[in-house]
Order: sequence, then C-alpha cells, then structure tokens
Amino acid sequence: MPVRNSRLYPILFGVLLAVVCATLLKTLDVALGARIERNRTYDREKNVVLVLVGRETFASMKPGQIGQTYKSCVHEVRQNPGAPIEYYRCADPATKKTTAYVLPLEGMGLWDKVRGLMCLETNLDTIRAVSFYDQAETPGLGGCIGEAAWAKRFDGKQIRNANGAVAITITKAGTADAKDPNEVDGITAATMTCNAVNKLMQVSIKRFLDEVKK
Amino acid sequence: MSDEQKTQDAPAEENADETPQHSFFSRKHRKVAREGVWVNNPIFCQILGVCSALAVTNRLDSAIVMSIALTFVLCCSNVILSYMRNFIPNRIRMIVEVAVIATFVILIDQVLKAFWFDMSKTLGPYVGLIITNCIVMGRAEAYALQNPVVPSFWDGLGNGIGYSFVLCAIAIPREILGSGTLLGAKVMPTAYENCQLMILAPGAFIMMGILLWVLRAISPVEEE
Repeated sequence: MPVRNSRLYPILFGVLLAVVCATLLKTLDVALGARIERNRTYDREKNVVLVLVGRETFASMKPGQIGQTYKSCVHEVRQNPGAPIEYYRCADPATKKTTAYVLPLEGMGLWDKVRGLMCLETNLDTIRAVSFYDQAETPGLGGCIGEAAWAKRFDGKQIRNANGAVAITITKAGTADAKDPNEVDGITAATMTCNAVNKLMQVSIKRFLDEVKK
Repeated sequence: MSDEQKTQDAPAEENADETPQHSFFSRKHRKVAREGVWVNNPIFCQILGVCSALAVTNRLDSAIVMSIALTFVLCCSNVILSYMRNFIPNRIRMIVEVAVIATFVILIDQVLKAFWFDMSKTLGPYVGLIITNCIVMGRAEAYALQNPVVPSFWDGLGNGIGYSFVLCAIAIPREILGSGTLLGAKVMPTAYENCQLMILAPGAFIMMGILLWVLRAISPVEEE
C-alpha cells in the first residue's frame, strides 16, 4: 500500500490514535468519575466504622448498619480552615459524650500515597484499631499493611511513652518487644514500607494532637 | 460483562470473511491456544513476562488474580491489534501497541473502580502492572500483527492460560514453604519454621529454575 509508506501517514495515524484513545478515556473519566469518588467516600466511611467498632463487630454488620453507625456515631468531622488534618469525633448518640477519635494516617509509602485511619480512645493514647485502606505497596510484601492480620497488631498499643511524647514505632520484623506498649512488629521483607508507614504515622499523629488541643 | 461479550462476538463476524473454512472452535484454533499453553509457553519457552511472574508469586491468591487480569487484557489487546493490523504504519507500530494496551488497562481499572470497588482494591497495583507485562506486547508483535482476529484471540487465551499455569505452579510451593499457608489457610505443622528465602525474590528464581528443569525434562525444547 503506497499510502502506508508515505511520511505523513505515521504522523496522522499517531495523532488520530492519540485523539481516539484520549477521547475514550476522558469520556470514561467523566462518565465514571462521580461514581468512583462516591465509592471512595463510602469506603472511607466504612473504614471509619471499622476502626470505631472493631473488626469482629464490623464483620457481623450488614451494609445498611454500617451507614447508620457512621451517621449516628460520628458526631462531627472537624476541619478547621487551613488545618492540615481532618479528623472525626465520635460520640454516643444519646448522651453526645465523646467516645473516641478517628484520625487519618496519610503520607507517602514506599511507592505511592498510603491512606489509613486510626481510632484513639478518649485518653488520646490507647489505640482501639488501625486500618490502612488505600495503598499501592508491593503486593504480598509491603501490601500486607492493608491486611487485618497485620493491622491487628496495633490494637491496644499506646501512642505515647511514659513521658507523654509520641513514641509509637513500627520495628524491624521480629524485633518488637511484646511487653512494650509503643512497639509494633513490622512485616518481613517489607522494611522500607514499614519505615515509610512509621514516618507517616508519627507525622499524622503529631498533627492530630496539635489540632485537637486547639 | 459487556466487554467480554464484545470480544466473543467480534471475532465471529470477522471470521466469516477472513477464514471461512474455520469455525470459532475449530481444531486449528484450539491448536493455536494449546501451543500457547504448553509447546510455546510464554514463560518457559519464550521467557517473557518473567518480571511479573517473580513479583506476584509469593502468594497463590495474588497469582490467581494477576492471571485472570492478564489473560483478559491479552485477549482484548490481541483482538483489537489484529483488527488494526492492516492500518498500523510499520515504523510506529510499537507505540501503537503500547497505546492500545495502556488504554485497555486504564479502561479496565476505571470500570473496576466504578462498579466493582472491592475487587479493584484486591487487585490494587496489579492492573497497572499489566501494561508493563512483556507477554502482552510480545504476543502483539509476534502474533496479532500477522494473523487474523480469531486465531489472535485464541493465541491470547492460550498464552494467558500458559502464563497462569506457570504462575500458580511457582506460587503454590512458594506460599507453602515461605509462609506455611495456602490461599491464606495454614497447611504446615506449627513446628515448621517458615523459609524466609522463599517469599523474597531469590526464592522465585530458585523455584522457577527447578520448574524449568522439570518441565524441560518432560518436554524437551529443541534449540535452534
């Protein structure tokens, strides 16, 4: 075919292909964007409930109940203008007394942004539960941060040491002292992810503590 | 899923004018698929897609999910590129291949996120990793650009299944020896000390070497 050998043909073909692909993807983005965003918000709310009520209770909940619990228990989402962090204050639906705080743990992991949530008791020290719900770490290695089996290690740990400073640390796998309330055992073969998570966790907690005191 | 129907329907129409003597399930087409699975297995004989085979085989569930996703993309991209094969300018054919594959992968990723969010979370970065999988581009170059649509579909399916088979064959011993579990369920006695080497990359190389040896012993490959 002589047309295919002309110099202009590859350029035109390339441009056409780019336009077709880009149009297709943009259309898809416009069509599905809102839906994806809704899924993300719902996923986040689900995880707020998860860390609030604990994994066992959450597993037995029906989808309708999750939404209800979120509405009744999450008393307010605090976001001061210009504040670096948005957190949830959870209260008893009847008495309006604060029962727990849920704070976001956000920052860079090893490869991409990691998003998680941590539920703290009202003493702002004891961890009720932690969940990393949005991450793109190496599957099977760093990706284990998204799994319940690992997140459970945080349950009941304390974020502060005896002096009141933020001291919660993810240690190298197998080296955590079980008796130390500030140490969480890391994941084998995922030391770099654990270090990154450790850093973003400490930064997020410090930000939250500064914000909640205001 | 409508995408799947499309790939099923489309080749049937093309079939009529391009290869009238072969039906969709004809022996010739099945042979094309069988070649991909065994005789010309992408990982063992073509040594393609090794990177992902090493990366995702530390657990069986990851391997299965990756296998399904890759087979799907491979079939779709082979079909589309085969449709376009007479129009693609030779000089920029690789760019065209990558553009088509990438568009497909993003499409699948977005659709999953919108309609099957939990699944997309399970798949996580795998979907994106498919773009970089050498098998997809390798099969486009080696087969889809020279052959009609229907055989290209079967070639994609066969290679996808061949890849899946090897992935699972590497993942099963790795998960059992490295974590003492299979699909997350404990299978080794509690006294068993997990072999850390198996869940790291070297474990995959060793496992692959052993498998390669066993499979080549069963079915020798003639060196050219």
